[in-house]
Amino acid sequence: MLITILLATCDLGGATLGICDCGTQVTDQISFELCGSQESSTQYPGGSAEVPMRLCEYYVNGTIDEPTLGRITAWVPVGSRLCIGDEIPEPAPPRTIEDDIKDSFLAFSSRPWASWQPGGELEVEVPATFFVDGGSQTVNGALLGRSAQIRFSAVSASWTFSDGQGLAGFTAQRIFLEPGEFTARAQVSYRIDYRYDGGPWVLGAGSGALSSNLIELDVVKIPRRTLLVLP
Amino acid sequence: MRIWLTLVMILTGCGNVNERALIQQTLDGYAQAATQGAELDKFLSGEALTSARQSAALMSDLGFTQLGMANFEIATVGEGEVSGCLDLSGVQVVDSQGALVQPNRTDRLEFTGRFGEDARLYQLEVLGPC
Repeated sequence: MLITILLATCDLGGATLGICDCGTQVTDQISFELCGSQESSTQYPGGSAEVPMRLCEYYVNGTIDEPTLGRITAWVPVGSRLCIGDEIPEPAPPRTIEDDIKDSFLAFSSRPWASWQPGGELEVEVPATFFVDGGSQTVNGALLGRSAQIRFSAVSASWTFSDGQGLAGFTAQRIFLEPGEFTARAQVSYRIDYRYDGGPWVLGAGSGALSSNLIELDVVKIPRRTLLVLP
Repeated sequence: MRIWLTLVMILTGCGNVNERALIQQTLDGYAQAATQGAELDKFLSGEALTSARQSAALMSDLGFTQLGMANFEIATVGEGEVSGCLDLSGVQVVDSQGALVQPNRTDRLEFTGRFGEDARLYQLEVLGPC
């Protein structure tokens, strides 16, 4: 690896490393002026020709935002560290119990199952009934590192049909006035409660929603024949 | 009168010798402390101390260790100034794996410095080849 070190001053340490042949003056004020450079070679641990490298500049204290008298410029593997000029990423926000509740919900909950009656081909103007099972359940998990019981309770459901019509309820009924192919899907909303160590339930600590399977309907119009009975 | 003049010359000369020895002691102490990674403020102050600490931090950041001691050879000393040659031939640098780093350097370099009444160097400047 090639290391290029730029120092503002030259003293015993700089001379030992051979990085200050520029013969710079020590200024009255500490400044970040770079007086010159000298290259020295050393092995980069773990470096290889296959690893993409970039020329990276950072301060002697290893940071890119706390200036020091000297800077280090070195070839480093791409993505291995931040370099001066890079954007400093925002620190990740601390994890909250809501985050853990949401993760538990996504991990443990199962898709609500939707069905309908009477099934088969549905005749126009004949009522069809739609059902969805929310699958409420209580699971054992962990919240912020403590074991807890987490309860998902289905509290409401809504239906969306491909013709734009909507219905509400775990059980809903409608009729179709026109023949055609339709689809229906339910969305179930859940309230999430939890408790630690068999203690009291904390109700409504979170909420979530899950979509059901897709129901496909074939609505038909059966031709009616008028039977004329003559006296 | 002759006796008095002789006495003054002897005393002045002795003072210079003492000062030289004192500054040599400071420079040797600095060289030794730099090798051992010891605190430098017994020998340096001001800009020289800042710079030396910066160099020590740089060495540490690079994972380098200095082996052997530099030798400051004083040529002139007086009026708060010292100059001479810095001999680095006995100084080696190894990396964190213990491998010898061979910097492209000159082993003998000219140096100048300024020191205060406490005999600590507050300015130290390493120049070109000696």
